[in-house]
Amino acid sequence: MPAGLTLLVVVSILVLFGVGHRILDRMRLNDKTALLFMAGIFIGTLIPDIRITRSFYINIGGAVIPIILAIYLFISAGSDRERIRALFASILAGIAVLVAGWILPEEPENIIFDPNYIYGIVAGLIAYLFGRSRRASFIAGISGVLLADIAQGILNAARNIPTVVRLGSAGAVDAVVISGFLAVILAELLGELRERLQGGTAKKHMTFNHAEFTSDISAEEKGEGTEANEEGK
Amino acid sequence: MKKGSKLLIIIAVLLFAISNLPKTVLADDWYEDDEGYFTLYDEDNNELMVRAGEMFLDDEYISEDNKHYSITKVDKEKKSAYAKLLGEVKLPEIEEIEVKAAIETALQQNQKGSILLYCTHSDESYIPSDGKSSIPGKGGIYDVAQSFQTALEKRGIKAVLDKTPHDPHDAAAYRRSRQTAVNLIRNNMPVAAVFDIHRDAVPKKSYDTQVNGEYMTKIRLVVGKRNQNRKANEELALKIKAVADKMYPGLIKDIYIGKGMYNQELSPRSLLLECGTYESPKEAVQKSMTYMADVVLKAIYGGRAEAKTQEGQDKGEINVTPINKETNEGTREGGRGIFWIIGIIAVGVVLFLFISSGGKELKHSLLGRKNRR
Repeated sequence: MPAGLTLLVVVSILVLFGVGHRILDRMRLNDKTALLFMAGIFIGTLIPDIRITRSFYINIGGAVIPIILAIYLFISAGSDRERIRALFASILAGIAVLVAGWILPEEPENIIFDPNYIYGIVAGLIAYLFGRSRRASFIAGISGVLLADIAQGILNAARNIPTVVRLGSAGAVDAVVISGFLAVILAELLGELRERLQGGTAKKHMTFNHAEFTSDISAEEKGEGTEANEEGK
Repeated sequence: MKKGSKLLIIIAVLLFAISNLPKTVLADDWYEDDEGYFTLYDEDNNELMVRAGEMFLDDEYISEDNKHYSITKVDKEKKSAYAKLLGEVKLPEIEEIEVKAAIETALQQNQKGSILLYCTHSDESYIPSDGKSSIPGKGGIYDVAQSFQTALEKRGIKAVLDKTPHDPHDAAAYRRSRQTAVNLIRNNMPVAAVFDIHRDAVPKKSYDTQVNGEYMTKIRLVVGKRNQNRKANEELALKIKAVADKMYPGLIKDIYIGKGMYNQELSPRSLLLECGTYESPKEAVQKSMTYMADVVLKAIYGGRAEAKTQEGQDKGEINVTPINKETNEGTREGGRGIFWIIGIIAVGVVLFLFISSGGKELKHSLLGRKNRR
């Protein structure tokens, strides 16, 4: 490959790595942990898929590492309420991604966004509506695509169509990873947009402590602001 | 969150979903509907071509006679698009040799890199030979891709065909085939080119052709516009057409440069090939793929070849430069791709800054607070 095209490939990878790192950085992960996960995703991409059964494969960079990250974020969630929301958003995102695949036009040029991004946007919107946090969005973004792939594999098997299920097989550029990251970006943008529309932050009674907003004002005192306060976690 | 804002967001999501629903019925889905494809006309209302896919403003088209058009008007109701002529495309120069060349074999060329093949729409089939236009999981398109792979291998090229099905033939098919493409690239480095093999869904006559005196079908090259590899992929398409026009005129139908990405951002030198239509006899398409292997061999790796007329008469010899040795082309196309990535990032950053800090604050932060005392 000529030097120019090689440089183009290298720049594409570096940009993806940089953007991914910045996004992970927004989710209660410190710089080093975010770097470690990004390195895991990229190195895992280079490793061939792990064969689970004859028609079921999983990739380390595109599925195993994102699942580990999602579990970590799930466990470290601020409250049970956030965990339930993340779970609920994940299931809904899975259904939405599956149905989006069926009802959207099959040719990519007919969709406003490319098929690789549309699922992240669908999962991100649902996650934001029900999860209302960056972490819940990431969890819903990746599990939405994974659940939809598993469901489609089951449906194909039931119809006797000889397909294989490859979870996150495209590694760092798989829709699983793209959707997770895109969902976080969307949560961030929607959060910022809402904050602007409502005329300022709803966290004015809160203090930033240990990488999250905390408040010693009781729930009753917080009133309507309660839901909005969880945003941005 | 207030109930009102929640409702607003739900409405926005619904509007977004509805705006993405298919508004036109295309032949790729509805084979019975002979109006199910778009027709492109020039400024004088002459028909240029048909395509079983929607056409959009600013899509580009390079015709068989190398005229470059840009779509300026689309009538979705009538499934028609109108294009203005931008000029004639200058194809890469192919050196013509008068003296009969010495015996040369594929092995004499410096063949670096594999050619990778896969079929996103694994159900696509050919009615005259397969009986149906769609056979989930094992469409006739695999036989066509197999013919191409075998022909490339016979010419000494490492060609790999991944037969993973990506059914159903829905909006997620490209997402699933992306995994196949990445697997192929990962396992077969270095890569010379990646081809996604399809067949079109327009009437047969628009793909019927005569090449080297034989009946077969044309091949359309499709380039995705919105990705950083667009210029590199377009360069490959032009090179293939330039070589084919000398070796086997009539084989390459045209080049469509459309809105989709078709996973072409994964690797430079990626193309989507539309090989015949669902009404074409598969055997005729398979014959085209054998000739296509000759063309791809010369276009990518270079070497000497015989030039022919469409009727199969000898027209001397040509000497083709390998695509990677085209003067500065790789560097230029790579540079354009990098510029494209930087542009996207800049837009993203400015958009985020605008939303998070507001237009006024953004202006201040970019231009400095001149009025501040």
